[in-house]
Amino acid sequence: MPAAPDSPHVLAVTTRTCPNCRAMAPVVAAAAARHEGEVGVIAVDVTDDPELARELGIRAVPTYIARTPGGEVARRVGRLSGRELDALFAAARHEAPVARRVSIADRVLRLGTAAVLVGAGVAVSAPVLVAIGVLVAAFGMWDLIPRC
Amino acid sequence: MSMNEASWDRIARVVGGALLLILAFTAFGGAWAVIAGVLGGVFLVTGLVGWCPLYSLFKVRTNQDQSAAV
Repeated sequence: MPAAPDSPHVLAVTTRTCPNCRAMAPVVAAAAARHEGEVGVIAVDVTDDPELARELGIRAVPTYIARTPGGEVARRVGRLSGRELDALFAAARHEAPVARRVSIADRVLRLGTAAVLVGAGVAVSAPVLVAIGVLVAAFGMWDLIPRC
Repeated sequence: MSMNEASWDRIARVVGGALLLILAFTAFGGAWAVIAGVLGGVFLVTGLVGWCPLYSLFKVRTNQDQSAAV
C-alpha cells in the first residue's frame, strides 16, 4: 500500500497489459500538468501485485482515486475525458466528492424510454406501465434534484 | 460497481426491455405475460444502470473502456 503523502493527489492504478491505461497516459499527463503544484499524481502498476489491487478495491483498470491526507474522496474507472479527470483533481484539492452527473446520452436514453412507457401505459390504460415510466424518468433526472 | 456494458449493449437492453414490458401488458396473457414482464424489467434495469450481474459472475464485459484488473 503506497504511503499517503501529505498533499492531495490522484492515484492512477494501471496494469502493463491494459490498452486503455496506455491510451489514458497522455490524458493523465496533461491533467497533471494543468494541476501541477496543487494536486500530484502517483502511478501504481498492479500487474504483478494483485494483493495491492484488492487492498485498494480495484476491480478494473484504469482506476483513478482522488486522495487527501484524510483519505479517499472520489474514484473513477475506465477511460475518462480531460474534463472528467479535472473534476477528480478538483475533488482532491477541495476534499469534496465528485458531483456525479447523468451524461446527456444517458439522460436522452432514460427520458426517451420513460416517454415510451408512459405513452404506452396511457394508451392501453395500464397504470403499472405509467408508474414504471415515471420511475425511469426520475432515474434520468436524479442529479438535478437539489439536496435539502 | 463499474459498468460492464457497452453503449450498444445498454441501448439494446433498454429498448428490448421496454418492448417486452409493453407486450406483457398488451399482447401476452397468463404465464407469458409474467415471463415477458420479468425479463423486460430485468433488461430495462440492467440496461439503465450499465451493469449486469451475470456478466460480473462470468467475468464478461462488452464495455471496452475498462479492463479486468486481476
